[in-house]
Amino acid sequence: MKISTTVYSKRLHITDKASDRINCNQKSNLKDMRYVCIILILIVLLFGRNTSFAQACCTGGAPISTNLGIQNYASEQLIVDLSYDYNSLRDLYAASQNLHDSRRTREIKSLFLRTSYAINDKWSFSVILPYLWQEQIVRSNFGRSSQRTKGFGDLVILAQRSLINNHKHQLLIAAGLKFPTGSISKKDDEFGILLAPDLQAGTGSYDGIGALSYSQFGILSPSSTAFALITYRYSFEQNRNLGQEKYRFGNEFALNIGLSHNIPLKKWRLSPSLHYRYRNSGKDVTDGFDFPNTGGEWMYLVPGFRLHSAKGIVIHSSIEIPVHTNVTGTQLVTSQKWQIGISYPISLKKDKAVQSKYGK
Amino acid sequence: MANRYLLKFNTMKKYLHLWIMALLFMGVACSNSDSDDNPIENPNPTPIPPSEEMSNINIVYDEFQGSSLMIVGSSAYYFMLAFHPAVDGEFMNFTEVQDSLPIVMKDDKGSYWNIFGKAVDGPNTGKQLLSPPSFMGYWFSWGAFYPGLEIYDNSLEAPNFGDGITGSDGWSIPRDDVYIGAPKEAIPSIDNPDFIRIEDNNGDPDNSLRDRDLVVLVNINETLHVYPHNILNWHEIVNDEIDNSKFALIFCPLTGTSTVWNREINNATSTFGVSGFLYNSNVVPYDRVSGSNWSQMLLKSVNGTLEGTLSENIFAIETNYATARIISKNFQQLTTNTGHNRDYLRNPYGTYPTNSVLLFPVNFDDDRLHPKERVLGIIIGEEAKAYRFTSF
Repeated sequence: MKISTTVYSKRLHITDKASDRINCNQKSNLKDMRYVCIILILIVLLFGRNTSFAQACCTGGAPISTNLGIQNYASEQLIVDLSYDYNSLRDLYAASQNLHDSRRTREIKSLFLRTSYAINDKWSFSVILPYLWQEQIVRSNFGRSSQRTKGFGDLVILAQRSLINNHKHQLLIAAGLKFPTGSISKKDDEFGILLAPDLQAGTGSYDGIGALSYSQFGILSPSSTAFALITYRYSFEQNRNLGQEKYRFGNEFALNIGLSHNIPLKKWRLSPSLHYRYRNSGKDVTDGFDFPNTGGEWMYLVPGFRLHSAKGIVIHSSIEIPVHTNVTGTQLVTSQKWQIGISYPISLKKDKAVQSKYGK
Repeated sequence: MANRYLLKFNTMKKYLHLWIMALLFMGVACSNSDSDDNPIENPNPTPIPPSEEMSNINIVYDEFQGSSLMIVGSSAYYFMLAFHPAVDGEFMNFTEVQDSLPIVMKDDKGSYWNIFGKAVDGPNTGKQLLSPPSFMGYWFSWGAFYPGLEIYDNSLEAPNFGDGITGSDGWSIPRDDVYIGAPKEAIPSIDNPDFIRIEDNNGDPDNSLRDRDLVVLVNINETLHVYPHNILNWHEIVNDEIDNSKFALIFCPLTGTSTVWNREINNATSTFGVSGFLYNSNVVPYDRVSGSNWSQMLLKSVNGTLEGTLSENIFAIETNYATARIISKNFQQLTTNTGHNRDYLRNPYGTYPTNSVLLFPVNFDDDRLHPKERVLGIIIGEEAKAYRFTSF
């Protein structure tokens, strides 16, 4: 949704001048197109070759993949986005069957501070810092037991390039690295025993992250946008359980396809959206073997909205409604997930202009 | 030339969204390919008895830690059991009896003994052989708990692991070597077990087992309860009772070990639950009265008010379902009516029982045998000795 609304705002700013620019840059765009096609093919080949896909619901760390929306930024603009993500896992699934076992639940609350800066029309960089609260509860005839943890998660740095950006299409590509800055040594309160890796704030591994976003404007009506986003996370091996075993979280692939529409209000602009989200998580691997009960695929319908103020402040929110689940083995899966956030743009262009005019 | 490129560009641009959608879907399609199950065969898989006539039972006599031992085993029937070969303090000689399960041996006074170590015919009828603490399990777990343990009839030199381990932080084992496999009680024990008589099980698919499926047998006062591994894999503990004898069957899917403990502890009746802790990749049950944590393979409490208390062990047999049906035509089998909805036809640990991977760290790694080879371990004092099916 971030993409769609950004696309819209970008589209509003496209002028004849922009169209002229497109004509002037045809050769450059043609190169971009080739570049994009090659990248897409490489990504597809990579998916095809890699037989170990993505992580399951509970692999530790922040749910980065669902918060990786990339968007186009105006040149020399700094965007600070603060969002809150609530993920409640209450459904125990065996493959695609809900076992209707409510003994075990898990809540993951995450706060994401995302700071993005566009150095020009093409390039921008983002830093995402998550903070997590996780709690796992088991209710049985013998009482209630819980394990909880909180702390900063793994830091993500993304570089993003706009490959095509005109009144009809927009294509963005992003790549980055997740750093193992989150703690993996949290212990339980009662016995002081190291908590399971899936409950730690960090994953302990470096992950490579890639994303590709495509939007087409005016697809059904002049104010509607179709968009697609694929994200991919490749996990590197880490030493788990105090370095005694090698562990690699499964890689993760996510696809989002949807539509958004723009409704002008008095001082605001509302952009409701609906998209389909597919997530595929590969099995984790330990010492060369698949770790049981990890990996699977999930599908969601995600209604949401973005509310734009005249000053560029954006309030955004979405809900993920699970529509299909098929996990490897038996896993606790998301039953309710929502997100709300606000982003605030700070244009550094003006300051620079002022600086230039009056000197240092 | 420039116009040609412009034309190409415009054409590509026109269909760009179709290109991208197609590639995205290709990506999804490719991503659906399942990863391998790492099908590495265990060198000692569970065999199916080809026929009763072809199966042999063997007896091995041994001495360990000053104790005389008699191990009765059959690789075809897939069981190994340990007894002290003495009745009322008098040492006796036993010889194998073939093709007569549950009868497995005869003593030198002409009495016939069944697989539960009870004389069922002859002058010693009604007598019961004592059994040392012993149970089946994956080799790696025996190597981890009892470093450098001796393997019967095996010339492989035991590695020297140096000093043993010491407890810490209120535990009689190193607390930092205890791991959390799951939250407390997340793996639900079976506290109201439901049984079906074997003759009443008319092909109910939920409770049908294959010949090679492993089961645990507990026989008290001629009542035989059979516990399938495929149910135990999901619950690990069954709090059960036969003839007012209250016991807990504790099973660890990660070490493949089954023990049966008396639930009457210090004059109180308790039940055991799954603490979620693992030590040497082995289940750490906790008793719900005192809250103390126990180590299954050390057969004692390792943390809490009962720390140091030894488990009171009840004799059990682990074998396959085909052999269980030969042993008795009248047993009661634990059903999948456990109060929990699980896919009992599937092993939650996948290929773990046959591959060579361990899911949690262990203190000692003894590679003399394949880590998942199932061996019988006999524990006397602080020492253990392993017996392989190849000896039978």
